[in-house]
Formats: sequence, C-alpha cells, structure tokens
Amino acid sequence: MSELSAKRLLIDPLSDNNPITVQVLGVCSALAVSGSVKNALVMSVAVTLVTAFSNLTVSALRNFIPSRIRMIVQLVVIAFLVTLVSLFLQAFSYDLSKELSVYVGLIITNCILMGRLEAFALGNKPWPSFLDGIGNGLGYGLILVIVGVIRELFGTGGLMLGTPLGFTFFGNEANHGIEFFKGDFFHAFFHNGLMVLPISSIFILGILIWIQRSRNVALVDIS
Amino acid sequence: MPKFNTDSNGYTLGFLAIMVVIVGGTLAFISSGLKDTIDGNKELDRRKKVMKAILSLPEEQESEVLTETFVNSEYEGKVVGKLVNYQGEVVEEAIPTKYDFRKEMKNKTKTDEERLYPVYVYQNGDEKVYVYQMIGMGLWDEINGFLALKADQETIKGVAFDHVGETPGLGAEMVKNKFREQFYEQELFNTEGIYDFVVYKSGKKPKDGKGVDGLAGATLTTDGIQAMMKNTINHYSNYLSN
Repeated sequence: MSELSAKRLLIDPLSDNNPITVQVLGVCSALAVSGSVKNALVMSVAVTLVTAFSNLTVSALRNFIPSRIRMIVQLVVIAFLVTLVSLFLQAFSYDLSKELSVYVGLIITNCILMGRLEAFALGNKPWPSFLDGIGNGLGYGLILVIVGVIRELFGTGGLMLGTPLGFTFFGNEANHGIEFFKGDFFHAFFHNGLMVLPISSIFILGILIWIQRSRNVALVDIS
Repeated sequence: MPKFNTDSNGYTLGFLAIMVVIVGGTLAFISSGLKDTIDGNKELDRRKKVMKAILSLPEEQESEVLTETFVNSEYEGKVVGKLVNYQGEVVEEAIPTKYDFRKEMKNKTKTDEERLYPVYVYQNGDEKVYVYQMIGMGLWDEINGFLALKADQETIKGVAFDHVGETPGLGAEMVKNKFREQFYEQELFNTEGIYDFVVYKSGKKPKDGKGVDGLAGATLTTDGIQAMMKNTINHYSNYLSN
C-alpha cells in the first residue's frame, strides 16, 4: 500500500470512506447508542480511543504476530483496551458508566475495530495506523452525533439534556428564557416516541446513506 | 522482519503465553488499584438515592444540595440502617458491610419469609423518616429504588428510582423529578389498612383518586414499578404494622 498523507488518513473516513455509511461497519452500536447526543459523544470518544490505540498496538506488533492466531491477538488487544476504558469510566465518571452500561462492553464487538485492524493496521506502520484509527473513530462519531441530534431533538424536544448545556426547544417544557421559542409552533409540538427507540435510527441512517450516495456517484456500487 | 519462523507451533504458543501474562497481569493490577474508587462510587450512589428519597427536594435544588460532602455527612450523622426479617423483627441493629440487598433478593434458595430486608431510619430533630429498599423488573432489565415513608408509616415522603437498561426517553424517565413528585404526600393504605396505591397506565389515572400517572409510552416499565412497590410493601408489611 502506498504511503498516505496524514491529512487524508484523518479526513477520508469523515466522508468518502466513512466507516458507517460507506464501509457499513459498526452499525449495530450506531443504532443503539445514538438516542441522545451526550451518549453519542461519549461513545465516539471511547471508540476513537480504542480504535486508535488498538491500531497502534497491532501495527507495532504486526511483524511478530503469528498469522494463524492473528484474529485472537487482535481481539485480546481490543478487549484489553475496552476493559481499561470501562474501568476508568467506572472509577472517574460513575454516572456516565451507569448510563452507557452495556454499550461500553459492546465496543469489543464493534466491527470498525476488527475491520480497521485487518484492513489497515496489519499492513501499515504504527503512526499512519494510529491516524487511521483516529480518523475512523471520528467518522463513526460524526454519524453517531448527526443521528443523535435528530433523534434527541424530535424524540425529547431538547438537546444535550442532563448536561449543563442541556436545552429544550419543543413542547411544554420549552426553554422560557428565549422569546423565539415561546411561539405556539414550538409549544404545540409533541415528542415523537418513535424517535427515541433504536428503530428510528435505521431510517435516519438509511436516509443519510442515500443522500451521501446521491451526491457522490463514485460511491455507488462499490460496497 | 524477525529472523525466527513466526509460523512455528512453538513460537505461536510462546507468543500466546507471554501475551496472556502481560494482558492479564496489567488488567488485574489496574483493576485492584481502582477497586476502592469504584466501590466508593457505588456506595455514594446508593447513599445519594437514599437521601434523594428522604429529602424529596424540588428538581432545581437536587443537584446543588446533594453534593458528595453533604450526602456523606448527612448520611453518616442522621441515617441508621438495620436489617429486619419478614416477621417484622429487627435482626441486626446495623447493616453488615457484606450484606447486599440485590444478592439477597436474587438468592433463589431463600423464600420471601427467610430473607432479611434493610430499613434506613433518618432522624432529624423531631422528623423521622423510614426508608425501604425496592427491587424489581422493568421492561429490559432490573429496576430499583428507595421508598421513604413518614413517621406514621403510611404517607410517602419521597421516592428515588433507578434502572439498568430502560429505554431512554420512555422508561428511563422514571428517574426524573416530574414522575417522582407525583408520589409525595400520598397515602399507601385505605381506611381499612389495605394497600391500594396504584401506579396507573399513563393517562388512566382517575382525576381525584389516589395513585400516580405512569410513564407515557412505557407501559411495561410502569407495570414493573407497580409490581415492585406492591412486593416491597408485602416484604415489609409486618414491620410496617408494628
């Protein structure tokens, strides 16, 4: 594989080589954890850290890993890092770890990790692999946050609820500090229960993929 | 490239052995190093919920008042925990550190009559509040909470709920003040002393009746809360009537 520039390694996964919408990896957790923007952000940070460091580790060891057990070695590296993230969350951000509960453990089964290790880290030097991990983590996070914004806004009427930045746009509890949101239009809106269920994200994700492919013909029929 | 053959059996086994030792050792080391912090977080979380039920503060004040220092000093100074049995007799004057209510309830070899239940008594001047621990099943996973009763053992002072995996935005709304505040000041029993408190399906609560309106869009979580409260009252019924 030719040497790729650092910029491309970071930027490509955000759009033309997005892990979710183009590579269609890691969809399961994207459907489940995108119910609120806060969870989506924390999950993105966790996945970015784990992809970056597992790529780095496996790439550094790539010439020493016995080929017959390379999948096992990759899984052990991923599981090790995920356990670390989970332990640190429990110790230093207990409320968050309670909220994410099983999803942190599920990073282990996130296909982006194995996908990037197999496709990139095993054939490239540690530094580009590290950047590739960060890029793909961010690409994953971008989609998660987009879906999260849509789902939280229409599902609960607010954004970033439960954090100091929390803000309610719609419904009875709309933020009364801002004149604009006092209009009948914003008060009459009722939360859409479907949007908070994981099922809504498959529609949103499908529409995102559709929009991306219709704007970039090169992506059609490559996967 | 390394000079030795990375495909040989010996190398593969050696690689595995070294990897397992390094990974296992590091994780065990970090896990035992963080154990105290994690256990401390869990204990603080439990105390916070007990205090939440006792104080039943309005939403704006809750996060400001319930700081770590306040919860710990208030809990250690004013709350006494004890264990009671199904017959309502006090078995232990203090809750042993190894006692775990969740384990006790999940222990299938014990029946309700054999289990021990925790009671927390909060004494602040003349005010006395009794707190009972609840555990039940929601839609997806365990739900739990604390029920605080006034000194008459009939009127709800406050409640605190928590859950493991209820649907965000629907069942998970059970932790919100909007839902919890409906419980405050309600009577659990009718004039004959029979438990008739109901957590209704959302929108089904009669206008002037007692009970609370359930969570919108989360009928099964609501049913879980109703069942959990009923079970809790059953567990403590002998203690309550003493």
